[in-house]
Amino acid sequence: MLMTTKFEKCAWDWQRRKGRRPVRTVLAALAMTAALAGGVPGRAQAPPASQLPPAFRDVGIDQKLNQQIPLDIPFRDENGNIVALRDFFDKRPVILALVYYECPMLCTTSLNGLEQSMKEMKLDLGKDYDVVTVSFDPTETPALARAKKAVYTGLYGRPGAADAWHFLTGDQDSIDRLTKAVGFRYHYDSNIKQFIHATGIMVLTPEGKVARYFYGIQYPAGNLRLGLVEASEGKIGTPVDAILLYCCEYDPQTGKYSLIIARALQIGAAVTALCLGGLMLVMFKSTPGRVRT
Amino acid sequence: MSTVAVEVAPTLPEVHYLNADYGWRSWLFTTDHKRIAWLYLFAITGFFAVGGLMATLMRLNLIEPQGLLMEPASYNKLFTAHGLIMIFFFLAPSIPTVLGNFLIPIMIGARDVAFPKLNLLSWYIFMLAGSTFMFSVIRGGVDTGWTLYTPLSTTYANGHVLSAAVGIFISGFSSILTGLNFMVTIHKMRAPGMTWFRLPLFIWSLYATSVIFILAMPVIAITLALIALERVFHVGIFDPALGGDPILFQHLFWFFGHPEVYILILPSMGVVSELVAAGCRKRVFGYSFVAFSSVAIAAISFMVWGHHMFLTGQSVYAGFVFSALSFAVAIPSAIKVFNWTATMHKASVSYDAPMLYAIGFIGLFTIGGLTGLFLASLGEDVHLHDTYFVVAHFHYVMVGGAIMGYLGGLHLWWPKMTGKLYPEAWARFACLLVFAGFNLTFGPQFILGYLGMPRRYAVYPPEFQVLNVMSSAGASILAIGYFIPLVYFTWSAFKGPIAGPNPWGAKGLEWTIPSPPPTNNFEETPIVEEAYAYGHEEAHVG
Repeated sequence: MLMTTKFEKCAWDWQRRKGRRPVRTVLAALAMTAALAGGVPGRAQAPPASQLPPAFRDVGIDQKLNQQIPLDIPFRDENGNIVALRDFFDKRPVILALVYYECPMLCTTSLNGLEQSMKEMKLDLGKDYDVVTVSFDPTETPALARAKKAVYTGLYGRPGAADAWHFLTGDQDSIDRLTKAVGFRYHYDSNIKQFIHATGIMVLTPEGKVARYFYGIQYPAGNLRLGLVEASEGKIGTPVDAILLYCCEYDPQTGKYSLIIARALQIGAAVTALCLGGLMLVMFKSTPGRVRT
Repeated sequence: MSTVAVEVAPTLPEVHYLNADYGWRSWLFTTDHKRIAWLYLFAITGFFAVGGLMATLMRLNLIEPQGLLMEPASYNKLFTAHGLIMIFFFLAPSIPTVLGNFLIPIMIGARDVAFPKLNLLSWYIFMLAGSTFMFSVIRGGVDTGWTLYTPLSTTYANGHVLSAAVGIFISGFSSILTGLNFMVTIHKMRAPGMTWFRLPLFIWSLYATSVIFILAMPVIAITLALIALERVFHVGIFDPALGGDPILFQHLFWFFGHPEVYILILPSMGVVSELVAAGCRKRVFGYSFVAFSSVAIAAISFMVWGHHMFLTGQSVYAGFVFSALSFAVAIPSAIKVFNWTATMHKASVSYDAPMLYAIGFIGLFTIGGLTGLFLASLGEDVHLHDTYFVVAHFHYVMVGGAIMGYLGGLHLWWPKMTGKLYPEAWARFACLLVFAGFNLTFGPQFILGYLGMPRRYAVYPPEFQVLNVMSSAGASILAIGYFIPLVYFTWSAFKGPIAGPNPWGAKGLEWTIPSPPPTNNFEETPIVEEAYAYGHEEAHVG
């Protein structure tokens, strides 16, 4: 644990989040509280599962970090063709968003949040990463998926998005296998005729292993970028990312990237030692000649 | 410039640094390293008195098993303030800022330190730090112990941790600037012929201390800043509920804390080398070994912090390494002790007060050092951790070692600083009192700790009373032993007999100039041909 002590956030995206907080709060209040949406496991403040209302008990996101998801699960793409997940995994990391297209609440907000961050990021959809959106409502159709795709690729606006942002639908068996593999728990409430679910997106490696979870309905671009760079194992990103990743670390507890205090201290110590060493070196080299008699 | 006619002093120079200028401005705005040394001397004597008074109250309280004087809560605040004041505001600055400031330029043949204004600034920063800290003590103090461990200093803090931490934070900058100043001075200001291996050993040890100042002090400053960050902004650093790690605090604290111990003892070792050379009228045996052992101690001091954490969640393999490295520190320390002893072999040893302090240092430091080995042993430490054994051990090093060295140094160089002699018989008597009182105070604490009495408790089981009363009795003797020099030094400054430039017949540049020295130290830049040039003439002048 020692090496993972950290600030809540890296400073650069802390600044941005400060500005956004009011929006988040309103949305959270509207939509069954962001705490649940966040589904942060094991937090001291959260009541134990037995005290939760029955509707919430089976809802959450269990982290399955580093686990391989089955790539042979069949789904239907926007055109109704049968595809396997494998078709979307090759050389690039993949963002996986589990939503349902007719969700009246969080899913749209979540996809909007994702789309916004994608637009903020310099990384290019289709060149640096793919997005796979899967509906966990088995009654939804490719037509609905097509409509959603049109909206979001249009909003994103960069060329090539249509080939890299996939909107899938599938039958219950496929949905079960996928949601189980990534630890996504939800259930259908027949009273309100809605799915009760948490929101969050996952970043998967090009091989289909779960790399990172990001919770909530907004995914700060800085965090998402680092998640993708890490998941790509160095295949994308800039040297600056490498430096940032040296100083920041993904915290599974919060689903955020945050500064490693210990690392920052190591760097500070190294700089101090180098400065002092440099000073001593300079002074040893320039000992006044008059001393040497 | 008009001087008062002084008839009794044929050897007292007419104009010297003490009478070259008058008025409070000439002191508070001085950039003369010798006057700044006096400013520090007054300040740290005040802090020593406060810290000592606190120790006296604590020992008084411990006369009775249930506590004689105070509530446990007050006791907690007392030992915390005692520790912090003694370490940050007395021991750490003592030898470097008083004797170091006065002697470094003179010993290397310079007119002042490299950055005289920075030197004065360091004193003001130190005073600001001390005032801030005392402010927190007066407001109600801190009860965390000097180690300020989290979460006691964060989540569960009762006292004024922040203002205390700010005081310590500021004091670090004073030390860093002093260290930097000394380093550059030693590098750049040496007189012709003063090569590295002709430097007095005191200079070597202060050079090593300066390096530790510069490397260790920022660590405590950052650590305290992180505490403030967590307390004020609730950023998770040490608090697990916020995603932090309380053990990180201990790593950081001791990464500073152990080198800090060597900040306290290294200058004292340097002083003892000078005391032994002057008292034996001999070059210190194995000069280069003693010099390099200072450097070795400084280097190893940064790699042993884990021995404070054998029982607080550290990997057992790390424990092995830290234990082994801690044993390794004993080697350079022992080199010094053996070389001082070897210097005394077949020498015409004088038993003047400075030499008595040196002999006392060697004995007490040896006990303090050897008991450190008990604590560096992984198994033994389980039994002794956080007991009075630890208290006794580090007091043997810091009081028996560091303060004996400081007092010895003051006695050796007092005639140089003031131009006056002190009553030698009283000085010897006070030294013996200090030695006896010290052993009576802390000797029984080894036994108490071994029997299991934990440190930092205001009460104890009745069967420990005899040893505790012995310890308290010793403390009162020790207090008298410290008080007597205050009296005769004050007397000597005004009415003491004139000392002359070299009352000890010692070697070294400081003994070649008048006492007290002129403001510019040297009329002509000296040329150095040999270090510790004893044995060329009949030395003792008397």
